[in-house]
Amino acid sequence: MANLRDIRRRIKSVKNTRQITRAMQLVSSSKMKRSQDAALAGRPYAYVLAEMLNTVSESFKTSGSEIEHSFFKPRPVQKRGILILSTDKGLCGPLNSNLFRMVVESVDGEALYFTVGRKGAQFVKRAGLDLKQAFEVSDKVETSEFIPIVETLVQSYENGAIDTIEIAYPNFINVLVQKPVIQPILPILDLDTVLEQLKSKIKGFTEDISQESREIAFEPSPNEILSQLPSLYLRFMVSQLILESKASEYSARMVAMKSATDNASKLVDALTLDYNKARQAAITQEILEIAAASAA
Amino acid sequence: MLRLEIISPKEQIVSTDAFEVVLPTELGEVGILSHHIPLITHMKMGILSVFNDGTAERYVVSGGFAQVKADKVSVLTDDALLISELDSSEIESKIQALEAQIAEEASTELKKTYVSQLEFFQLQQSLVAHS
Repeated sequence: MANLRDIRRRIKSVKNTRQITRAMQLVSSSKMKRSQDAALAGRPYAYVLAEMLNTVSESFKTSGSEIEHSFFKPRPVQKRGILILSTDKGLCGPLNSNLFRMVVESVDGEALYFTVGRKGAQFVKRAGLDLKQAFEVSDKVETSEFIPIVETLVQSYENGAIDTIEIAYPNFINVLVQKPVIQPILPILDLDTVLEQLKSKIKGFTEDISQESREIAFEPSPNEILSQLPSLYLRFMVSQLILESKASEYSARMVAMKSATDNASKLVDALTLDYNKARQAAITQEILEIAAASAA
Repeated sequence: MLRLEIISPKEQIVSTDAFEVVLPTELGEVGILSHHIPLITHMKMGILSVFNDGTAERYVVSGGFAQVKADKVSVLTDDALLISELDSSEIESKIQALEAQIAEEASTELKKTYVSQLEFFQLQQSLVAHS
């Protein structure tokens, strides 16, 4: 039978751990609410933006003219540019490791990596992959934090260091499910898929049934619109996906910490039972000894 | 009737019915009425007006894009504020903060963003001063 004092010590330490995990659970759940709201709020903007871009590029296609903007021109892919959105801290369940495994499995061939979050930078270095630059972004996702990222990505894309811009991030589906995905951003090829994805994400989305058959006008000119929309699109997509990954991070951390807290409670119960048994055994033992002594 | 939606990356600012919407575009102001032809336009920083039988609501917008499609006007902008609700002391402190940020910022792209934000607040300031 285990020593009474040892059991008592273990109960105490498990309770301490439970206190920490419970505090972390509460903190992440309030942060989760905030980041989730921010991620959800950006989706309608994303949709309208993608829709506009689609309309402009469609009108170029139907008129048979070539789109001059470099963001639209696919070129032979020699080196992919991949931005990994990870977390700064651990204790968020398998969120990061799932993401990294997906990256390792789905990227073959040459790629240049950019990372957000300390865990991503560590992963890229450890795996011996080509890390171009590591960024850190706070929870607020301030303009001053994501614009340098976009600037670096565009520079590398324009000077030919990378031929695509893709973002690997844990897609926020709901609190319990975050699915790691690689979202291609540049070149802009398949806006229909982007639109479909966004539609399924926006709650209560209603499609405009009233179809517009008249030809669309652009002011000042289609070229003028097209020179400005894509960079806005890129900038917004990067910030939006960072927000989504933050929402995923806090959900994952909250769930992980909740199960850790539950686990600790279970452990405390089991240990308390052991403790009581041991105590009872000791008492019985003592009584037996006294009885044996008085009988002798 | 038109449906007007002003959306920023952070929130849906306005969702309302309107009789007429006047957008500040690069080529001047464009009035949108019902049955307007589909249009995508680049907006500059300025005043967006919403008219509804006899009443007018005026927003100051920081530029962006607008799409008119099947009597629905979707405006994408970084920020839109009702002019009647502007607060001069708040604007003042924002301007000062931005000026400090611009002075110490080296990155060109970021500086451009700050400068356009500063211009937006300066426009608000002048609007408050005139109202």
